[in-house]
Amino acid sequence: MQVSLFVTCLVDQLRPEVGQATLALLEHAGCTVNFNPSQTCCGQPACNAGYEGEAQQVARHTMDVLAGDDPIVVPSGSCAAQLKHYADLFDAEDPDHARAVALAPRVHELSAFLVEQMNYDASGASFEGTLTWHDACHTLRELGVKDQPRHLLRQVAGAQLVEAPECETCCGFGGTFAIKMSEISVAMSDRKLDEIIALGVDGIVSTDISCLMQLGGRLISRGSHIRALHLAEILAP
Amino acid sequence: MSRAIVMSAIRRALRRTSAKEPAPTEIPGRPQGLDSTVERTHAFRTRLESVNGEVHLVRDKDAARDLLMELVERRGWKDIAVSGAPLVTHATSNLKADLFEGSQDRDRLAHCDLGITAVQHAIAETGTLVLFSHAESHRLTSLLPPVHIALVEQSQIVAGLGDALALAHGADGGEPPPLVTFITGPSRTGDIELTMVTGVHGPRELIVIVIAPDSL
Amino acid sequence: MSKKDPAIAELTANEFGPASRRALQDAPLRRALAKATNTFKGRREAALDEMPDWEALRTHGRAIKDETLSRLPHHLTRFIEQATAKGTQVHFAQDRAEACAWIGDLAERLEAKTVVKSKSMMTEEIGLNHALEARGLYPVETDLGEWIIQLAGETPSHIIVPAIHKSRESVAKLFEERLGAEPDLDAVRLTQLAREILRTSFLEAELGISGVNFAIAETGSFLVLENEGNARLTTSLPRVHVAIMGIEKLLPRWSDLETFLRLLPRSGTGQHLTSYQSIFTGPKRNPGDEGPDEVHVLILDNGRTDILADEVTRETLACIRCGACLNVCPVYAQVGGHSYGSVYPGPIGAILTPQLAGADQATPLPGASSLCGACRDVCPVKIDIPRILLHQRREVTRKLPWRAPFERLGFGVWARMASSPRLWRIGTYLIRPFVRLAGGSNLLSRGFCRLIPPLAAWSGGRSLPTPAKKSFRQQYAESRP
Repeated sequence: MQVSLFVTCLVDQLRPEVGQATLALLEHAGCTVNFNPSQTCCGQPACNAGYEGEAQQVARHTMDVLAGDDPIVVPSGSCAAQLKHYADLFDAEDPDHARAVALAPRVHELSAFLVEQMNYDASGASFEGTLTWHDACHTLRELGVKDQPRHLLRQVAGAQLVEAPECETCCGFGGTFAIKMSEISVAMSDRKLDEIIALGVDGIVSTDISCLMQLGGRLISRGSHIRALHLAEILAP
Repeated sequence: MSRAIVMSAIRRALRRTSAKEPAPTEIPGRPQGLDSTVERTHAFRTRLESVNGEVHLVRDKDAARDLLMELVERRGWKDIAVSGAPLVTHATSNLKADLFEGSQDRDRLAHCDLGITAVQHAIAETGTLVLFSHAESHRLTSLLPPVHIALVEQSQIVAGLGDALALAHGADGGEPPPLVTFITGPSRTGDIELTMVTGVHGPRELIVIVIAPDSL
Repeated sequence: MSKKDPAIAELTANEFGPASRRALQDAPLRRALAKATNTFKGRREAALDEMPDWEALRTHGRAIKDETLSRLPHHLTRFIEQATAKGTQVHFAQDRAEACAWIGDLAERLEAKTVVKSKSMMTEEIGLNHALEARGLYPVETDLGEWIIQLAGETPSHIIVPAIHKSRESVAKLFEERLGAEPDLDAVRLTQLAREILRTSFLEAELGISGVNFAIAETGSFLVLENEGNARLTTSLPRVHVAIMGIEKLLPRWSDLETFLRLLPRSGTGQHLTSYQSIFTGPKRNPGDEGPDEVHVLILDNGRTDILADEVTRETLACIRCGACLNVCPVYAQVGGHSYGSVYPGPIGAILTPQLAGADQATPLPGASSLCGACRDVCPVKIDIPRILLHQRREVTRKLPWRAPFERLGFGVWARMASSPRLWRIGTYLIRPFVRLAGGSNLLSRGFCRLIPPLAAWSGGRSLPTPAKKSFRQQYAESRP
């Protein structure tokens, strides 16, 4: 199957190994992956900060980059949600609105793609230790992804999946919120992490890089050995 | 005049808005399986007991009278307010305590031991008593004393909120009465550290005697 | 509305930053908040487990609200006709000054010495107590939580449990100091004392003021729900009852109450029903009957018509003030109601406060959210709070262009770069060394971050491993030319 990879700016810049893992994973699943180097960013930071014009500008470019028919796989739930909701940025009469509407069904978050489109068998992957899944807000509420990643993780050899009661609580990133209201943001992370540290797991897993940066960054500050891992890093061959 | 100004502001606000369709008439969430008086009585009791109501089932009016006598004796209640409902008159006919019409003496009502009313309906779905101000003077008698005893006839128990509301809608000559009161349990609060305390401003105890020949 | 007199009384929403930072340092407060929000969340979930038609109820409730708001003039006119025909006196006020003046005038006409109030957010929105105090009247709050904070001279911190920020010990101390109570009373005895003292006020009061949960156009009725019984006393003992409501509290039909009685108590406290509901349709019909001689309904605009006019924000008016959004909000759970500086805190407060008071009176509030969407999931009438928050953020950048100039410039530059592959490639290449420097956790990185305010805010509590030398696109270009 031919797919396009929208690697996301955070993965590209800050965690390129996640991009490599995603690429390897998709190829292992039997996909031919096209990466258009003209891609930049989904535009979410501007959109969430209220800069609509800037968000529209970037959305138009991204829609140009992603033109075509093939499925678009995104290793980040919040970016996938942003791409799927591009139509909200444009008035109904705007031609870009129609383009956005056509784009939406092509966009897939990584775990949803692997389970629903590829029926992927993750039993070839291995991880020794306990893991807990973090339900990132956009991934859970905008994309309805909850069972798919758990389904994949349960297949991984050696991995034991543990549920954190606060798995659906926001990690506190929220885009510019993490900087503008950083004390509250950190307090929100601590609420989740207190519970996760008490669970004594080896890793928190997500397909949202911003959440992983937030939780992972806080774990390091707190001197914890728990790792914040991207799903692709665990599943990649 | 403010009414005209506000109404005109509302019209202006909506001038480009088309009217939305009325909501569907089918109302979700209605209780199922409460087709017999026995089922409705059982549900009513279970619901009300789950919110700290005390419920007794008796065979007939005389049994209600006897139970009331027993309760008054056991609890030592001396000064008792009553509404004028016939069922209440019958149930209190053997009491040795001082009885007075609650709606006529609010200061006495504020210091008495017990208030007794009947009801106009009750709701199985929620364990609720339904009282209409035009049918019975319940307003203060069911509210000021520290204990409220309500006498219910099994046939008065309807299945759900919708049924009770429909009955209330036309109860007073085709119109709603000036006051419809729903009572589901004693007065309560969690305002201090979420600790549940009963008897804040209203009664701290709600005791319901159901005349339930079908259930016994 | 001039800046000096916003629609919401005692508004300090612009102080959200410092107020929230203070709240974060207040460990007892945060424990109380965690306990309250978790308890209500749990109870709501338990109640919903027993209601398989919950989603259908939400849809139905929202449909009723949409219908009502879209035909508000029609339904309001009907309400006025019906209520008046039943003997209720209906009045309007454009803003809070007018509302407070009208009530003050009525109290003077009645020569009222004692006025009792049951819980009404609207009366707090308009600052009624202070307005009446300025005229020599001291209205007594009768809801236990509201009375506690009235005694303490504080403001409510939660829509349902206004005194949740106060421990039992602090309430006992308050009662000891202000009422001469014995020291360290437990919750039961504190409540008993409140009952005795407030009962005197109930019996003396000439005027009772209540809010309105729902008003019914079809019959000219209105409903007040509660657990304590103070609303029943407030609306039964005094000779005159005044009920205050916003224009949006209306429902078309009596039968609509069924849907909302299923939605509201479950959402707010997890109860199937609160202890008491009172549905009022006019004053007493006969002189010897119980109840007030006069029933008045005061209907307020106070900025609601502006909210109604905007199609995006209109759904804010669907709110039934249940408090469910507060109980699931991860931000509210950390900072509590006082941080919002408004009678309306939490998610609903973040959208309603700026709309009533003006965006410049509450600029931090639309940003006081990570947009997680938990509130949208629990709202019984399906208000899309995150959507409105985003809308308000856009309004702030549009209407207050002088605010945050560096941020505006930054996003402008970023957008230019992100829509040109060449600029993006060059730009990300040039800043890569700084990205790697900022991403690390050694001394050099920390020093660098401290120089740049946004980075300092990030690295204050979080530190990350240094990113790889080459970005993904660089690696891809090199390995697959």
